[in-house]
Amino acid sequence: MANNFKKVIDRLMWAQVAPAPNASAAATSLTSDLRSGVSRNPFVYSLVSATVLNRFNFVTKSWNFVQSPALAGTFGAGSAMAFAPSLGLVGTIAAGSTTIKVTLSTALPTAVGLNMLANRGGSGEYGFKLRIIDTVAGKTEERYIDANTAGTTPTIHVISPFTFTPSTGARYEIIAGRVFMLSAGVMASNAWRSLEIASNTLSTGLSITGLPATVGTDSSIMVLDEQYVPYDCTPGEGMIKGAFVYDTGLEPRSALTATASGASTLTGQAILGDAVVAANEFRNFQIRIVQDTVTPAAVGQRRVIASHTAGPSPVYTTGTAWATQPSALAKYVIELPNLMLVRSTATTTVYTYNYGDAAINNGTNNILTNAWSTTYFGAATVANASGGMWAPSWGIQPGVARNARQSFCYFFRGASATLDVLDIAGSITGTWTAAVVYDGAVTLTVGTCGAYAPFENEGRMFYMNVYVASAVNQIYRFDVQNRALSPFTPTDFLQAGTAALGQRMAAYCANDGTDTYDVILLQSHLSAVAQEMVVLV
Amino acid sequence: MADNVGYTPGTGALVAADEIAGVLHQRIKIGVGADGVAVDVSSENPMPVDIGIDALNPLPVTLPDVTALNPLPVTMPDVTALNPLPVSLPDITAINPLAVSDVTNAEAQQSMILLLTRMLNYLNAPQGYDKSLQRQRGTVIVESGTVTVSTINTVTNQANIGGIQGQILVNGGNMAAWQAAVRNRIT
Repeated sequence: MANNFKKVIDRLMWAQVAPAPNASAAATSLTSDLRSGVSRNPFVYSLVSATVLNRFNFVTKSWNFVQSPALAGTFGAGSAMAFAPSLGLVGTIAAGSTTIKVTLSTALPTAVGLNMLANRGGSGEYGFKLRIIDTVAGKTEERYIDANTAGTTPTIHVISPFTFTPSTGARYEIIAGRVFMLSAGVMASNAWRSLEIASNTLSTGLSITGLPATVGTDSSIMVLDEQYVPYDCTPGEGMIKGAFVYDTGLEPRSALTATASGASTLTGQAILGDAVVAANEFRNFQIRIVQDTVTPAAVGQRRVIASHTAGPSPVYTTGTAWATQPSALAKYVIELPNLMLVRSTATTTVYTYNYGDAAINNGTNNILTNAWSTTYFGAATVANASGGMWAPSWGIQPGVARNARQSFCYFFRGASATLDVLDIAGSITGTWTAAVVYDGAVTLTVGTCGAYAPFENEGRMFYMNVYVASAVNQIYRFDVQNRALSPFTPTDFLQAGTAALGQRMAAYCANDGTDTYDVILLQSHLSAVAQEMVVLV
Repeated sequence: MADNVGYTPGTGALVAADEIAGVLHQRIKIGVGADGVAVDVSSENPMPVDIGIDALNPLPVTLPDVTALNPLPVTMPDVTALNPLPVSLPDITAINPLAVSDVTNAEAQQSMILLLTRMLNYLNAPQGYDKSLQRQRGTVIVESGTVTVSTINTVTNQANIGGIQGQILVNGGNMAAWQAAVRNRIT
């Protein structure tokens, strides 16, 4: 036990880190990579204005300016940002691979420098993660990049060998991540942009069709990325840790083992693993085939679960049929569906964005790649307001009773103490439950912000700064598993000033061997002062 | 001796006289004094004269050329700023102030009111007074002695403490406390 914190006797405290380059102001926001492993990006990104994007290196505790995102629209109330780790750079590889190197065939959008992919900027940490999905070997494996040549089709060396020689045409995914940024005001091309962080590529012309014509008031973005997993799982393992180790790299990854398959179905385990799932517990999640040596062409397929029976031997029905039906022994993971859910502009609508490279179809609704839907998930019962924000709960493990589920997406409505819940698995368009009862209700005011820290404390804690000018006690945390809001260690630096909305909190994982810690970054209200909390209890 | 002097005609004695139209008028020398005293009238011993002028019957004086525009020139060479004209108004006291009632002009009255207002404002808010704070503001250099301040609400821009950058001290203290409270709990 590395953490010998003694409850009641010891005390937590916020530590000041280097101040941000820019003071927080109305509509500024922070975002971070919520992956729990060492593959997580070591930066917190800070969107300050339409032309200023900063980042905080949480390994070295230092800030720098990244670049101008050149956002269209009018930066202000409603601006927001989010980090999505998956599907930023995808394509196929060329001939000539070995077990330790591949050469990209599909060009990167921006040329990379020599060995640039071998350092994520985290001061000695590993390079970006390369995933190879090989439909000849029937395997999916991930390795950290050790070296690369320069250019748009670099030859990439990895830190430890693949267990197969990647075949020509195999799919690659560089799982570095993208920072998505939403401007405000009248939507126009480039009011919604992304920055791919491995190649430093700023997107051009992402779709804004389906967003409000004018984005105003507060916005909150929730990312449901396949790399985001419960506290006791590793990215790539999904929501249920299986017993079959399909990837033996630096971070071994496990998968579930199928027991049967059909044109649009896959049957889960009879014992252990997903044998205990409740009916439709993972509706609207995705199944990804990570290994199938019997039917290698089936590997890499992602399908949204339209419905499923309860375990044991749950039968998952996919939204669309398999392109290649997996074998009855396929290895699979159940993951979040690579979607972003946005609440904005004092509406009840849930704006759902597909940031992947393929359409997402749950059998009822379909979202093309780089497209928004206002119907994929149903509208909330009441509009959002200032201080409103998402609090996901995918980091928990549900209890035997399944009272709390990873599909529950809490939404603090804002301008009140009211808490709503969207269960994305509750129906095919999700099910909203308005005004749920929870302990310790506090009215959320303008300037309130929060961050989900799914790495420790069983993935239960959502940290909040319920802003009240000059009040000592402004920090809270909400237990997303047990629906209790409690005051949390206050900051030494007293936050003050006329309330300005914005997202000033971010969370990231500290890895110490096999131990993980929740770490929270808070940029103080209307200030450049930044404070960090290592949560020990 | 009797009061009267006898006249002795003959040669050897003359009596002062003045011939006017063939008649001699006797000249006399005036001496004044009380009973039993006779002192010759001179500049040192002038003759007492009562002309009936007193506070109730002043001497009527007319200076037809003296007006407000053409005042009587008065020169008081000894009266200077350092040697002012002593004025005593024994009846004027704080309880019985000098009554001023000659200001009848409205504009003059307004000017006086403004002047008095400014004087009062100055007394209430002298130089260095911050109306927004309702406090005196100033940059003070304490040459010596002890300064006792009962309450300090806010200290801003405290760049240095004891010659060391304040931020360094604050952060250093914060980090030392964090080391003891948090980092030492992680083994």
